[in-house]
Amino acid sequence: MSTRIVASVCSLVAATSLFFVSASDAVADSEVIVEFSGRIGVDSQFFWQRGRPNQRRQSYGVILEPEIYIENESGSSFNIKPFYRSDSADAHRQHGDLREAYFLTYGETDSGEWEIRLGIDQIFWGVAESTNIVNIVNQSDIVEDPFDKVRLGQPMAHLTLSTDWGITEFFLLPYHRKRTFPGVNGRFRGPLVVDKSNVQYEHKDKKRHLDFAARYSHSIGSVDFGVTGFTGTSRAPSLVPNDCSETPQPTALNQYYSQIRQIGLDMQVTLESALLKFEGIRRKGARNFNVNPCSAVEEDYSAYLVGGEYSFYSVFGSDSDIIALGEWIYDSRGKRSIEILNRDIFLGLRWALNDTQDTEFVLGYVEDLRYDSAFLTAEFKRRISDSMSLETELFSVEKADENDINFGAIKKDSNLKIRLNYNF
Amino acid sequence: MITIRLSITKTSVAVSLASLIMIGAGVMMPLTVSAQTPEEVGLQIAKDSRERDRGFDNFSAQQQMILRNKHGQESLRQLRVKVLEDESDGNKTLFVFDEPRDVKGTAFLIHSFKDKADNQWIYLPALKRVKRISSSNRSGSFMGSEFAYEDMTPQEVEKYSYKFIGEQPCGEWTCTIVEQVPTDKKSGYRRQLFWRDKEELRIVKVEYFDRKDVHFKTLDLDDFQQYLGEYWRAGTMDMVNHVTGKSTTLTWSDYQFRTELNERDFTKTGLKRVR
Repeated sequence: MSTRIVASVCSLVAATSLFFVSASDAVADSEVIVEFSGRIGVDSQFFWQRGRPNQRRQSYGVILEPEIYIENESGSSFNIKPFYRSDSADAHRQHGDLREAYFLTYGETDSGEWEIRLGIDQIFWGVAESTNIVNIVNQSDIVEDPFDKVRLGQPMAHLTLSTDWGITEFFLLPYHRKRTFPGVNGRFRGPLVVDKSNVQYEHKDKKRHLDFAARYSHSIGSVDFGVTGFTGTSRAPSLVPNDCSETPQPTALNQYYSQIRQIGLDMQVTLESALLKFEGIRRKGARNFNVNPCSAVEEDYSAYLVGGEYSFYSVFGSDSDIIALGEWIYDSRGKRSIEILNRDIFLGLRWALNDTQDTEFVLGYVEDLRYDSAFLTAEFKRRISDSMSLETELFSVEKADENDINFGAIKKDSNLKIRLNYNF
Repeated sequence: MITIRLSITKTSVAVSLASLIMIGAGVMMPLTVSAQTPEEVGLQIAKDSRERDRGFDNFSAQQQMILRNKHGQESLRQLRVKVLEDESDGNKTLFVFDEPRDVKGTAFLIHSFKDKADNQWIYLPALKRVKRISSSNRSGSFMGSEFAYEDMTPQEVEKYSYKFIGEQPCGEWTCTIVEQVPTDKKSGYRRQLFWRDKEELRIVKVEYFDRKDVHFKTLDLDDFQQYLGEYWRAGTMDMVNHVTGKSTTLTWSDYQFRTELNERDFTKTGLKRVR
């Protein structure tokens, strides 16, 4: 896989350099912008409970994320953003990825505009804060963030057509990225480690299956909405024990990726100080191993999120803003759901001081509506200088129901993370 | 960040305070005509001021902000502004942040309307997410500076009531003073006093009164330059908060008028392309 990505990047680089050479030849006073930026981060994570055998209580890591941007005279551009993280505890968390490496060009049509992006890119769909049910194009980078806020780069051809009637996007996704999972020394995992190399696909084309996605979105007055469709290899694997004999003694979990079809809707209504949000999907073809780990049941399901946020600006005569968040998450699979957020309530509070350091506190609380499980998150962010910034993040398990298989797996993973970023 | 720009880029940049620099065009109305009430005179000056700024089509410029706290400690903001004129609806404004580095690439898009609240979107480059945000945060601080959001976005003439206060010398010029009262209850101001020179209707000073009618901020504009032989723009804007002792100096550079900017640069798709 890595060789394939490298190869495609090389050809993109070659194509792009040709493109720029020809452009500068053609136009004598062409304008080319080359921009180099990025961040270097050091972080540490401390878990106060001893976890499973082999799991470490503390880890240190370094993050490198440079970014190169080249733009030619006509506005076409090439963007490359590699990522690398080292980790003192978990060999699986020590990983690299090409977050972005794409060529972008655009132009006008009779009634609007077209845009093409070719290469590896990140696509965000959704409106919510706790989870984005509709967001399916990119694979989750679970070792980087167990709550799915970070995603792996996805190779794609992406066409956007904008008119006064809305924005229509088409995605050809020729390559499937497998999800990252923690290794034997890593936290946020169940008793069995997920085998990185034993990956099975429903479709014979395996990771080279051509997936297709599309989105239509529009803003009408105070309403922004998007209708999405996806057909292809699921991003969420089923995890199958590697021994399914009559007297099973599994030592690891294998990944199994089904062929799925999904339609989704995301919507936001923006009122004066309030945002009302909805995300929902209907997914067909997904296999569920949560009922019986050794025998998959194909199960169509729906999932929804309904929520909103309300902002209090300049509170108590200060520059501070306080934003209250609430979201309700529903998954029709009920107890068979493979997601941590399946029938839960999320409540959040964001306090932005709006000072020169952009100091910000965020509190989040998630309560499971079916099991007696709950967790709390607390974040603190502050800029220390023009180029240095500090982030700390607390994750605390408040209670974990014995019968809750998804959340029960991480009940000892309460931790504090501190990160220092140098941005250049 | 290292940026190499071989010859001048068209992605240049920035500005807004469009409202503050709206320099009217029309003819100076005869202030001496006694048939006009102070309200009518005030409105006329505001309209003339807008009239003079019409027809610029679009512009971009670079903004540098130096934020100072009461101990004199400074921090820097670097951003670009692009403004697209839309006479029928309301202007469109795009801010792109360059400094501090941790918010680099963050962009803020505003569609203003004459008769209703603005539409606003923010682009978060780390997540590649465009988020529609509430436009009711009028009085909040813009990037931690002494400028509020309502100072940075277009102030449509229709959204205020006016009253002519009088004339006073202002430096080498003579200025009209017009009181401007926002109809928007979300505004942080009870009223503002606009000082404009009589010749060219350049705004040279603005005094801000909070909801309790305390004069808490003053903006001084300087280093005026005329572009396209028509449009006056201040090069320096000094905002001082008399209550907190904090101040912000906003310096404008690299003004470019009637560039290739068009509608498409001010859409959600355009927002995702912003650098």
